[in-house]
Parts: sequence; structure tokens; C-alpha cells
Amino acid sequence: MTERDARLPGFYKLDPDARRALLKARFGLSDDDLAVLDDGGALTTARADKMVENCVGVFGLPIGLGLNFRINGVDRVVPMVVEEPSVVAAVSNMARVVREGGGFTGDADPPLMIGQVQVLDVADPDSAVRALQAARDRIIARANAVHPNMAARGAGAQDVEVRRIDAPWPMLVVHLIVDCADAMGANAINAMVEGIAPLVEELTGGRVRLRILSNLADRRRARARCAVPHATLAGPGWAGAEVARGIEEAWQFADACPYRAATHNKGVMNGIDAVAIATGNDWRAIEAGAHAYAARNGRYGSLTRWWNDGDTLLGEIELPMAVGTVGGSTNVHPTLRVLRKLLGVESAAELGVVIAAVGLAQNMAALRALATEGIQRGHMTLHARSVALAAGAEGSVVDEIAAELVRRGEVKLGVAEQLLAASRSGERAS
Amino acid sequence: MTATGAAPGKVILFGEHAVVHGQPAIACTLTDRGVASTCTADADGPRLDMPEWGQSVRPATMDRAVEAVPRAFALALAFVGLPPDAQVRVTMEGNLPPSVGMGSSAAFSVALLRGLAAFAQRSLTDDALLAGATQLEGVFHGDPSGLDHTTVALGGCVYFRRARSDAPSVIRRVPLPAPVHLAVGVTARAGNTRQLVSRLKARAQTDPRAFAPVFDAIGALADEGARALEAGDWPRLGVLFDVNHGLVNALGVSTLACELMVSRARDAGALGAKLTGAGGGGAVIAMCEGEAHARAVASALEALPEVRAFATALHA
Repeated sequence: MTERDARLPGFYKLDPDARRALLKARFGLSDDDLAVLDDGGALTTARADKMVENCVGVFGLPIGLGLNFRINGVDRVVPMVVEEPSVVAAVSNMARVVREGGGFTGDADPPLMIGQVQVLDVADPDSAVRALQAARDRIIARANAVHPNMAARGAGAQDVEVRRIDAPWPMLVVHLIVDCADAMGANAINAMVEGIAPLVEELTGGRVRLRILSNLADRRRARARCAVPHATLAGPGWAGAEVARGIEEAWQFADACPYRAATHNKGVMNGIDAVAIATGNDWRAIEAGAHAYAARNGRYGSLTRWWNDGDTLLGEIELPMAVGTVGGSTNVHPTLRVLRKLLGVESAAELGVVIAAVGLAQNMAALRALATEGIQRGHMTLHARSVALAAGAEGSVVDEIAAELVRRGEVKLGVAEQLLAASRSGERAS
Repeated sequence: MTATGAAPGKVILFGEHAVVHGQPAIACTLTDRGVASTCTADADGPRLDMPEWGQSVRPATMDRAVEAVPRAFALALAFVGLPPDAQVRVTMEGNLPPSVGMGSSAAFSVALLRGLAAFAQRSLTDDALLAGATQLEGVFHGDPSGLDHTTVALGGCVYFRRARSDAPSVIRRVPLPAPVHLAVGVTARAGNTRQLVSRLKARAQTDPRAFAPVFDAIGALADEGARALEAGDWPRLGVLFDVNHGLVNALGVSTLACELMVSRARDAGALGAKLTGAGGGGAVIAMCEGEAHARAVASALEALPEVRAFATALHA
């Protein structure tokens, strides 16, 4: 593995040409690679026409680089495709802070996905379930015969489970558990459940309706964690411990309230989707899996968790991560090849951990901003009151002047005096 | 514990029959058809279930009187280092049409070896897998050329020439720049590869001056075919298919059913078509341009009586 340094100080001050030149030197990109990045010219309309129907052109989006990431001891420059300002800066800043505490750690489950077969009109569900369980090995083999190359590489269908649903509509659901190796796996799984459908009908005496993968990939989760010393969270006007407490309290809000959790998780997905798009993965599938997973306990909650232990802020994220490094659009879109070179992950599991870490960084940035904004405003109001008092304000006028100082963002004695004079002369300063 | 193994089926693109006589041939694995094994611990001792074919067998010794599958099972257990009374139950399933030259026995052999090796927690190198598959194929085919199990074990598109007295064997991967789209037609009536091969061998030995030039010409087409595949030259491949088919016909292994399918595929706009595998009933492949074209040709083939057809894309 190449030794990378994900810190590129002053990168943000360069213009895009200079940034690309730096990447060329640092990451061994060719001139052709750089040309692919420029002006979104890489994906031609001719090629796009092979990707979707009724194609009339190609849509561009900015590619930013998330910097400073250190994940499981390896530095990563993380390509992010996103139209929203501040997302890339936010994750880069947090990655810099987390780096001081040793960086992110993380791991991913084996790449197990679920394919579903819906069985209706089963006359005797009990014996159908028994028949399916008895034929487990046969169902696995039938599935693997449909996609022999996957099983030949040690992946492929691994297990069969049966879910019996009695209400509101009686049905059996056969779950085929498939090891997808480094692929997202959607096509393979869909072919496999298609392939086992006749056998499932034969075994159950029922009628198969749907056969398709589940996007609730809860066997294929990725996790990332970070431990942040309070001292590294300190900033102008606030102490690290105060910020850490603010982040924990902000998280508690999301943990307790679905209305907040939706917004909280949206922020997480700002980071996650951006990397998913930049690596050619189906971000709608990741979104669907993430939100379904967030509601797994019957109430929608946070995908992350933040708490304090002594003078350390601890954070973790866990969510389904159905991503691949092979197949899908990865072979069609030329920009993906270059971005993959930059990121330098070697497996779907590695990519999953990177994506989870970016989601956690984005969440930390959002919570910190919300928490410090509160702290800052609190500090500023206190400060503004003392400035208003120093200018000579009395009674209810103190709060009025202080509020105006905060609104203007100019908590200065001179401004306070002007405001006070204007207030006394019965007119408001414009 | 559960261990799984699988192997894809294959189609011969160039050089069937001639390959037995020392000429090069090209075959490629299928992506969506093969044989798979599931191996589970079972105190009842070794058993091989093939519910699809209504078979359930115990491993048997090399007594020639015994059917091929029990003998192959015994060989496979020994090859991966499992004892003859290993506590393992193997379940096998496949979706290859049997006995039409799509490598069902080679895929069976390789899938069985892979599953048992995984069960024994042994990893097999390509060379070891090939050696094991050669042993098992010997049980099914007597004197296999090696093309089938070499392709099936290695996967992808393979250029193959068996060892001759004057030269060692040649095994080379043919890189495909893009998927090769084929329509495949299969007749209900299957041929007997072993019989067809030995009958042709006898005829060729009786009259080498009639047959040797045909084998040579087929070998030359395989070399041309490798170049056309690497270049992604589909129209040329179609021409080479047509010529190869004419030569295979000259060997006397084609049938009315095959000729009907080849002719129908050409009428339906295929770039070229040929018999694939041993013949004597069997299967044909038709070169097509793109997926939609392959599907159209396949449905034209299906309109023939007793013919099943499908479109497939071959990958390197």
C-alpha cells in the first residue's frame, strides 16, 4: 500500500488547477487522469446514453476532497461529490480534530446481503417451513449455480432463513443470505432469488410473487469510532469540555426525538452520500438501508452515538453499508476510476469503513456547530450585556442594547454608546 | 458448518472434435449457468445428493462396474484429503442442460472439488484444481481432451491445445475487450459425447488423408478466432463461426436438428452460427451484436420444435 499523507495544508487556498497539479505529484495521477477530472468532461453523452433511457445530456456536480482522514492507521484523501456548500470543509475540519486523538477506527461485517422470495397461498405453512429448512443445502446450491463465479471465489449464497408472516396478510418469506465479496451484489442476488423461485414453489406448494434483494442490509454493517480529547475541541470563546457536553446533549435530542433524528441523520448522509456517489455506489440503496436501520427498534433514532468519558468525547456510528468496489457503474464512468485511485481502498469492507467515518465526521461537525453556536451566542449575550452596562444603559434598555449588539455581531463599546444615544433621543440607529 | 463450491458451464467457441486430435480450441465459461455444491457436516457419513436428478449416492471404489458419480465422489474425497468415511453430506444442483457440450460433467467435477476443499478448509491452487478435475473427468469421459475442465476450472475465455508427442499443452487466457453476445440453442435430444468422439476417432484413423486436413483447418480457425476475439471483431467472428460449422459438418457429427438451428439463427440475422460441443443432437451458438440482438435470435430459435434457447453474454 502506498504511504499517503491526507494532510494537505493550505489546499483550500489553491485554485483548482493548482490543486490538481498537487494531486498529480502526490498521488501519481497522470495527465489523462487530471483531464478526466476537469469540467466533468469525462462522461460523454454517448456513454451516458448507454446508462439511462431518453438521455439528453450529462449533469455535472462538484468533486471536493475530504482531507485529514486517518482511518485504522491509514491516511485517506476522500473524494466527495456534493452540491451543498460546507460539507467538505466540515468533514475535513473534524477529521483534523479526530486525527489529533489518533484518528478513526472502524470495521465492517462480512458482505452478507439478503435476497427475498415472497410465497403466497401456502396451504400448510408449518410443513412448508419444515420443507424449506430441510432443503436448505439444496436451495443454496441452486442459487449458486445461477451465479457460479461468485461461489467459485468463495462467496455466493451461504444460508437460507424463513420468515413466517401471519398478519395482516399471511405469507412466507424466504431469505437467501448471500456473501457478495467486493460487489454491492444487487444483480447477483436478483438472479439468485429468481433462480430458486421454482424450487421454493415446489417445496412449499405455494405461489411465488416477489423475488428481489432487500435494501435493509443489516447483516452488512459498517462501524466507525473516534475518541476526541476535550482539549482538541477548544476554540476561541469556548472550552473543549463545554463543546463536548454540547455535542452529547445535541445527540441526546436526536436520540429522543424522531423529528430531530431525521435532521440529524440527514447531516450524516450529507457525508455518506457524497462518498457513495464519488465511488460509483447506489446511494439511494444506502439511504434506504440507513433509515430503515435507524427505525429498527420501532422508533426512528440516531445513526450515531456521542457520549463523554472523563475528558474524552466518544463517538460511534453503525449502519448498513451495501457498497462495492467492483461492478455496477464503476466500469462505465471514467471519473470513478480516477477517484478510486485517489482514495486507494482495496475492498468493499475498507470502503464501507471510510464511508462510515465520513458520516461520523459530518455528524460531529454539525453537532459541534450547533453546540458552539449556542455557547457562542450565550457568551456573546453575556458580554454584550456588560458592554451595554459599560456604555451607561440601565433597566430594560440593557437587554435591548445587548440584543442589538449581538444581532449586528459588533459587541463594541462605541457601538453600544451610539445605540444608547439614539435610544435616548427617541430614534433608532439605522 | 456449511461450505459451498461452484463452477460455471462453458461453450466451445472454436475447435470441438479437432481438439481431441491435437488442434487448438477456444472455450469460454458462462456467467449465469453452472453447477454448485453445498457441503454440511453429517454424522451419517459421506453422501452425495443430487435431488434434481433423483440421485443420492455413497462414494464407491474404482470398480468400473460402478456408476461414474459414486466413483467421482470417492476420488474427490481422497483428493482434498478427506477420509473415505468423512462425515459430510454434499448437495448438488445445476442449471446446465446435460450432455449437450456445455461442460456439465466438468462443472460437476470442479464444483464438487471446490465444495469439499472448502469443507476440509483446504485451499486449492489452480494447478491442484486442474489435476483433481482431470482425475474426475477421466471417470466421466475416459480420454477427455482437457478443454472442458481447464476452461471451467480457470474461468473466462481459454485458448487450449492438449499435449502432443511433439509439443507440450498450451493454456492461454484470451482477453475479451467487451462481452461476447451469443444466442444459444439446445435440442431436447442429447448426444453421447463419448460415443461421438470414439466413432470419429475410428473413422479418422481409417482415413487420415480425408480427415487430417479438416482438423488442420479447424485448428487454423481457432487461431484466427483468438485474434478476432481479442479485437472484439464480431462480424469476423460470425464468419469464422460459419466456416467452423461447415468443417464440423464435414466430420459427420452434425444432425438435422443442429442444421435447422444454425440455419434459423442465420435467417434471424445472426452474424454467424455453429454447432458447439460434441454434436449428435446438442447445441448451437450464434454470434450476435449486443444483448437485444442475442435475445431476438434466441427467440427465433425457440420457435423451432423441441428447442430451448437463451441469450448469454460471455466475459473475459
